[in-house]
Amino acid sequence: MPHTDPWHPFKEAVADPDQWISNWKRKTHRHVVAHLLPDAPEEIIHACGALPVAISGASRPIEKAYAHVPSYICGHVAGALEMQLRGHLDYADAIVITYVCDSTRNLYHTWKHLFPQEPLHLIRLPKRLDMFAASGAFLRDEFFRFSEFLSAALGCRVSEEKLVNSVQVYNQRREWLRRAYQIHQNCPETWTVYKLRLLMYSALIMPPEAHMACMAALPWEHSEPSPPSRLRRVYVRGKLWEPPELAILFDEAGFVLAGDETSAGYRHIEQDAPAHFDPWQALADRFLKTVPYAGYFSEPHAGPEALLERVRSSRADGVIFIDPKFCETFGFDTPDFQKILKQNSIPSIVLETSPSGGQAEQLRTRLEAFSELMGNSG
Amino acid sequence: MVNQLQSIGKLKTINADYWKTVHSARKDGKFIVYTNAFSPVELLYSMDFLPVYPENHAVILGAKRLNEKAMKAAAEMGYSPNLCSYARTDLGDMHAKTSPVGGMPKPDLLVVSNCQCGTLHKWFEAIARAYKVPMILLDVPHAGNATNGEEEQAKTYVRAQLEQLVDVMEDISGRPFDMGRLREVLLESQKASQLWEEALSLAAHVPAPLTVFDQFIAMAPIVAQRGTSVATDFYRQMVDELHERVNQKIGSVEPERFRLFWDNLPMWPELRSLSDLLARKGVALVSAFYTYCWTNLAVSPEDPFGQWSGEWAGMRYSTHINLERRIEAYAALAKKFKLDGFLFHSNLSCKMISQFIPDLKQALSEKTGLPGLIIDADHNDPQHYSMSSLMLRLEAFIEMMGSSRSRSES
Repeated sequence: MPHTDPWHPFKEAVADPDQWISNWKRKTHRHVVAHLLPDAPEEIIHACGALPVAISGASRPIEKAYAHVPSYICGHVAGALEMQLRGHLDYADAIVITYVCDSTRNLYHTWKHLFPQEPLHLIRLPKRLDMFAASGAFLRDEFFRFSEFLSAALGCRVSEEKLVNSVQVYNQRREWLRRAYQIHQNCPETWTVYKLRLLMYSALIMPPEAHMACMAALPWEHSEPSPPSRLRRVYVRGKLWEPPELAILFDEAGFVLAGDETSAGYRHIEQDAPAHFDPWQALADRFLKTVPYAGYFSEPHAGPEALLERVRSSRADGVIFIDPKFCETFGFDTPDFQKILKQNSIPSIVLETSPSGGQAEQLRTRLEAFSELMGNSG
Repeated sequence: MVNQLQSIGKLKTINADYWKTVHSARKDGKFIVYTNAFSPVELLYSMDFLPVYPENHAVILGAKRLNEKAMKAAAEMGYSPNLCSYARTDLGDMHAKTSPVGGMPKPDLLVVSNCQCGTLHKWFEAIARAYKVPMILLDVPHAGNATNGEEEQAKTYVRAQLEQLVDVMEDISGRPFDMGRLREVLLESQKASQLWEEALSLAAHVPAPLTVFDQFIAMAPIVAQRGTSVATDFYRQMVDELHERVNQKIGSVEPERFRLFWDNLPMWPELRSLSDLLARKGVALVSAFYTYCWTNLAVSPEDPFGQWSGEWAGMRYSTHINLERRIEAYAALAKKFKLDGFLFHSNLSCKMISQFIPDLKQALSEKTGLPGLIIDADHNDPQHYSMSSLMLRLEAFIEMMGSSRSRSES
């Protein structure tokens, strides 16, 4: 009997993603390609007939991985290795690591050393977002090289036609998700941060076609704007929405997401791949137009100013930085980014999240205090 | 007992002169560029941009234990104590101003290459914002899993960035790039690099005429003045002295009981204490990963841009970030330097080099049969380690080596 809760498919996927993916694989007999966040080209994996799934290593208890990496390596990387060591990625037919920082680059080599038989690929995302042409040409080639890896590993071939189709499918799904964000901003008490996170995180593991079919069953048409006057609009910058309880804590604290540039948040869906005769280049262009991840380079002075502009445009009451502990890329940005906000009387808070999660009560207290602060500043 | 190298005594003057030169650069019609070790420093010199290294400056403060205030200032600025302590020293010292060399002169340009690490890129962004000066990142695609045939696009990408760098320097200085000058600087750089490599290789003799502590102190010119005759002249003298020692069988540590390898960056605030402890126990650190990095940075004067693009896009500078190559390289060094064991500095401030250490130690133990000790510490922040605890572990490790040797000899 079908479940009556339209949110159930998303809850099921997010509650135990490893099990969900394994079940999917058993039913469909298709390939699964697991990738690290951010910025893996899911469309290319999809065009190969495989399911792209994001490896969600952060906030998992880490024990086995610390036999291979020091305890001061970020939880995203250590957690991914932990998952592999525990067999939680046994469903994967290939692993893709996107090189965005030293730790992810190193993880590739550790993985290769420990699991030499596993098909593994490193996508070298260019950091020079200020050199559009040169980076775009390099990345196009890099994406093509990735497709050749998939072809060898999975016995598939990514034709241009298939890729064009996959680009369209993913663009469609992103449009749905952007709509979900808008509805959340209008009706945050029914389309909560928690529900938004369900949609975003289930999108990281569910096939886009099935995901869109499930989204179609959501109560879009029953959503009427309700003025969130007592709720605080917050802009979030950070790596991931971790720990998982964070979304619930946001709802409890009375927050509305005015903007979200986390890797698995709005940043992940804001840009579509443009209509282009060359789908490889279209994907490269999409990457270059996306809000920069902390590990990429644009003009240094522009970084804080651009954040300020995005925060202002979003009409946020305050900014929350989610900085993973031991993450050098975010750690070096946050002080100057906070400074410019302070100079412009926009309150902000830094949540330093632990590699293994488990800080819900601490985070609750801090978010409640921040909510009060925003109320006093407003 | 430690036999000090006489040539190292010249470094005081060399280093002082270097800082005088950088502080008077503008009066001499030159420009100041902050850069990192693995950048095309010869190109910078050839265009009258004097390279100044925030890393180097941080080392000076750390080694002299003058960086406590700077790191406190960095914490007050919002930088987590879990970030690189070189960076925290440097960023904090902009406010704390405890530098014994007059501080860092204001830069005209920042140039950083991420083939060394991504932390430098982020650190330099913070500096660029503080000084409101232009910054160029040389983004080098890691050659992790690409074969030579697939690297053309990577080379093209790197070359485009090098050409942009030249344009920016021409704009700032108003002077055109001169390939002839670059070639001269590269020739000089090659000489210094070859002499540096020769110096390090001489430690393969028994007893070793120099230790890694000598190398840590002596590396300043190859880092900061590679491409100048200052570096070449200094290393020529040092190599001559080392050859004399080899001829006379004078070791740096006497008696030399054990020969070890030091992995990762030094513990700058503890050079003296570690050197003294190890010397008392008859342990000579004869080879190190860190000092070897500067043996092959000079490209040939023929087609330097092609070589930089190719070497970076290739594997030359990537050994330390490739676990398998590091295992092979260390195993080869174990034979060459007749090692008895490895000391692995698990350095919280350098996650890039430290991340591999557990697997590196395990693999080397299997490959070479040599013991290794992991030391949890930091290259510039004493708050991240306890020297007492570390000394105990080192002593226990040395005793263990002694017992193993006695058993195998009996």
